[in-house]
Amino acid sequence: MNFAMEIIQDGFFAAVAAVGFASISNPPKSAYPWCAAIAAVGHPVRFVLMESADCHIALASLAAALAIGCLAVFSAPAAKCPAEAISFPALLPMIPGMYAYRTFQNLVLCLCCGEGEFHHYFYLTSYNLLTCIVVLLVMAIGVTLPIFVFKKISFKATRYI
Amino acid sequence: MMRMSSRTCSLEGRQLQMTEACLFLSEYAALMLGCGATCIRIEKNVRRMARAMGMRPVLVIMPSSVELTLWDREHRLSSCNTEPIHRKGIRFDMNTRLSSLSWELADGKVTFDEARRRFAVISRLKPANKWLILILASLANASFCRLFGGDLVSMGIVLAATLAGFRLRQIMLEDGIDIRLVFAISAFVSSVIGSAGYVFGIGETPDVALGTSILYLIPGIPYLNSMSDLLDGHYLSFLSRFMDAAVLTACLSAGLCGGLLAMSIKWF
Amino acid sequence: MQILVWIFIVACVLAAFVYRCFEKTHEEPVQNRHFFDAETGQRIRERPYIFDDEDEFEDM
Repeated sequence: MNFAMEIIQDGFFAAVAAVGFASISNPPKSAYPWCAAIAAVGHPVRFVLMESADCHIALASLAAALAIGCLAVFSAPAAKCPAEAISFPALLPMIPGMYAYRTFQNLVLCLCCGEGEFHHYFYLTSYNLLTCIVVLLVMAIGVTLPIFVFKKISFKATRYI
Repeated sequence: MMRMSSRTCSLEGRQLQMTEACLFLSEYAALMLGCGATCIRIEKNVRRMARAMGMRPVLVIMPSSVELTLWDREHRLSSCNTEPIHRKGIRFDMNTRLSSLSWELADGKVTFDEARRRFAVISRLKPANKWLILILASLANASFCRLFGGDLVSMGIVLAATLAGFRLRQIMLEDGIDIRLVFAISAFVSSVIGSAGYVFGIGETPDVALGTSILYLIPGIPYLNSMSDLLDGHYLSFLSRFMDAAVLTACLSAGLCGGLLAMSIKWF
Repeated sequence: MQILVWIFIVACVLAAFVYRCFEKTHEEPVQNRHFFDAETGQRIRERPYIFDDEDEFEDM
């Protein structure tokens, strides 16, 4: 029950975040509810995979991004806008900010500390940097791939506005 | 089918038609690039419209200009134009209307002149109410803080930090200040306000508040657009968009470091 | 000391907002970059070229 409440909370705040970040990129008004709905479904996918299936963040992000991408492609004709207008903002709440900060933190410690601890901080820097880059890459590919796979749907979405 | 029949026109008339079509399509491509559309979408839209007018387009997309060459079906006449790209920020509303316009022209629902008129109207489209965007973005960043595990006080700090930083960003962009400096200053201000948890000792998650206070500045959409260009093989566009996003990220990191230095916080 | 620096920076930002509120809004000059007329859809043939750095070349 507690877990279900956490999932609902996660979905709700992801939806609010998606709508807010979407507004910065001026989408058509019809895109907002779809943005919110897709983020509310996609972000908990990553949350569930990481918490209960003990998935690595990169794999979980890939699964969530694919889910968001596919949902966006199939709802684009109903939302009367390109699939990117819905999926890109829905993806923004999943950007791994903490890994980027830890990279810089450990990089500075790397440079400041002595020879003995250098290897440890270097390992932490590399791990966080690689995780950050890989997560961003798989997220971007995961959300763009459905647009290319379902070309007929994604590029006909604005045909009958 | 478009009202541009090639049978009854003389060669001169057809050349004039091609010149007009080339100017329109190159301006169309430049505007789509200016409002942050992916290269594959622009190519498909331009190809769709040109085919409907009985012409073959070749599009060359460069970082700050776009070149279009139009050939007629018999490969006798051609027209070429290079348009500079004027960046208008990310405008999905313009992107949607322009894509829809390309379908209307291709399906014959509008004449060429009517399409140009609609294009002129779309290019003058005003962005959404800036106060609404300010409030929505601030609420979004506060929700972001919650997603990272922040408590209510941290969410409040992040809300205030985003309101101030985003408003400052709007003001500076209106005044025409270079966007890189805008990002650095906004990140500085947001990180200073976001460090209130450390300065005043409030809240249980001051680190989350500080960490998420500048995340609204991260240029996520230019980065995602660059990935779409990578998948479609437009490597030049991918690199230029990626570098744009990377430079802006470096600027906001500089602003964050400045804020931490000013507050003497050993967050790193 | 930290608190003083914080208050100073926040005060500067608030001052900038207040100044902006009462500053006379300068009109943005209408830039006719567009080729096509919004009423007729015809190409504007006497459209002058407008460059972003127009004022740099005024003395030349």
